[in-house]
Amino acid sequence: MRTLISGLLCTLLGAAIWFYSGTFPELPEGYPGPGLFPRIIAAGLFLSGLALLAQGARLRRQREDAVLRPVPAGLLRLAGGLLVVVLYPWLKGVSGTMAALALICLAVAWMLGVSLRVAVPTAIGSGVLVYLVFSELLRVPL
Amino acid sequence: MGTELFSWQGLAALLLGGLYGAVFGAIPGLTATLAVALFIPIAFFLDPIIALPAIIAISSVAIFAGDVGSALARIPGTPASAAYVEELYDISRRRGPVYGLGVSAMGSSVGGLIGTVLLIFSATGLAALAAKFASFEYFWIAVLGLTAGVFASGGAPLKGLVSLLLGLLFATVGVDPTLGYARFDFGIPTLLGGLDYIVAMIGLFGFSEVLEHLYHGNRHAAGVLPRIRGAAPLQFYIRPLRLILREKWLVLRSALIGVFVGFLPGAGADVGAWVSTSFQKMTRRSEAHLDDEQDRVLLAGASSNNASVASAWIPALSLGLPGDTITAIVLGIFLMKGITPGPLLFETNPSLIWALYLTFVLANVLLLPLYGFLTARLASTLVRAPSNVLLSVIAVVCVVGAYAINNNTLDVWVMAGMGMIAFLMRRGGFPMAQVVLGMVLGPILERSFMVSAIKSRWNMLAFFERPIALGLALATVVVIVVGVKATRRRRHTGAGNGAPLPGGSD
Repeated sequence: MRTLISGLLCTLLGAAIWFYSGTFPELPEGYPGPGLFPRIIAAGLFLSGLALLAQGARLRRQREDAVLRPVPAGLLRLAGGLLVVVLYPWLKGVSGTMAALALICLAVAWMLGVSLRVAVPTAIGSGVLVYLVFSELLRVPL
Repeated sequence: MGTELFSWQGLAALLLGGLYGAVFGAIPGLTATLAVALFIPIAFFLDPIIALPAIIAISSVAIFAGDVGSALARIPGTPASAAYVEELYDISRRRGPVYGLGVSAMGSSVGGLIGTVLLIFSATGLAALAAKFASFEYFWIAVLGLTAGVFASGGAPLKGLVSLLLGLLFATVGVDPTLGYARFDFGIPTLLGGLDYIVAMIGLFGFSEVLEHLYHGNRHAAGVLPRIRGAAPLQFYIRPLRLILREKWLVLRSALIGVFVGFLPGAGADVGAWVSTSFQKMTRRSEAHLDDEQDRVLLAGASSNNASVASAWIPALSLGLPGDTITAIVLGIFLMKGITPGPLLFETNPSLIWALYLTFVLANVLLLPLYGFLTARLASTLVRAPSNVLLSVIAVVCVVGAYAINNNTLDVWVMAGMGMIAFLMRRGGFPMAQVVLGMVLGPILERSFMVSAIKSRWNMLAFFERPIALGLALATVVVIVVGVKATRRRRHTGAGNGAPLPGGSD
């Protein structure tokens, strides 16, 4: 099943890129321009997708392809991890860099099942240490 | 000659430069190039015979130190390191990071020494060869590297090809090299500069690992680490050196690949490691001893990687053409100090040249083994921390590393997006490293193709008319033939066949 889904996604992505690249301009005298390489890549993805679909169909017949079973709790944790990173710019603006980093560490640690007794000092320590190493020691502005 | 190098200032510059490079290289998001760039204000006030060796020390150690992220958290420090990230991570989990980083450091030392010897004895000759490379040759070098990358994905070249195509697609984001037309920017000005491959690497390898553990919860927590027998010096120095002696021809071949591909200005360093590791994977001797084969792949990549550090200086010293971004910075320092690079440099400033040669030798013989051992010891302590605590810190490092490159908020989102893409790719059994290879070589491939096509008025036969270009095209065909044969052989013996890659998920 996963190979079939991969193949389907590849063919759809290839088709989408092909058609979108068709809107790019060409060089004078009709020679290909900025759309050439995206279209070559799109063709490659499309054909690879077809090959994966064929492979997936063969594996399904042989019952070798793994079936995907999403884990609901896992999806929630995954979404949480993504959200806390995506919100970093907002957190940084509200609470400052060190606090934002500490919050990210705390959130991820808590979602991974670390007890608060360990997670809180780890979060504070990593936020301060990472900030000091980058900003003060290495002079990389954050 | 080189007496200033052995003054207390010179030795301090070497030791501190190596330490600085080790810290920078080990932190995801910080690169050898950034380390050298931040060193420029200090270099301005130093004598060139002190400043330039310090830069060599920084870059030599930082290139190796990028493997620390690979060993600990599967985050490669450079695109070249991505060629063997899975092997290094697996070896570090099974046999300890001290042994894994020992193979990397000792392989880098020996490869770097071979590169230095070639730098000393054949710089002018190789530079003359580099001067013959035009857009046609660069195109075929890129194709060769990409082809090698496809077959470096083990038993699933089709999935390796898809990963490569994704990387090439990401590389098309931004302004195109022919008309300056903005592609796939979706109205976001920051995307006009394209996607940074370092940010992509952090997301694909580092943040995806965090997402993987979040999804699986404690079921995916690393098992108890095996008890590692033997003192740290034995694991870091003796066992890897025994491996090198046993595989001396592999090391020599890989180092030569690193040198001969790495000396091409602007193109070679990353390609060398990929060609070396791919060649090793395609020609692996036995399906029954995958542990030993992983050691060989790691050795091939590490020795090629550091050999190319020295070879990047060949066009810089001999022709004044930078071999990579670090030598581009160095040429700027040359100009600041009133030194003109080129063939006459060897006659007008021999003490500087010999100081550089000596530094390469010292960096590979002393600094790499010393700082490599210290970072490996630190890594062996860190790896014993509970994985869920370590991952929460890795998440922070990923965010900061992505932001620090360009001080750009969008890079943090790109990093998160790449992490999610990698998470999905792992579900499908697709390799990650080929995405990075595509992002690095894509611009070179497209630019050289378009320049060549326009120069030749779209006469495609022109891609085969020059002897070096034809040779590289034939080498690509050889890689394809050998790769297909190796894939079929593995399928017949029951390995590969789209099976999960080392370290990948099901």
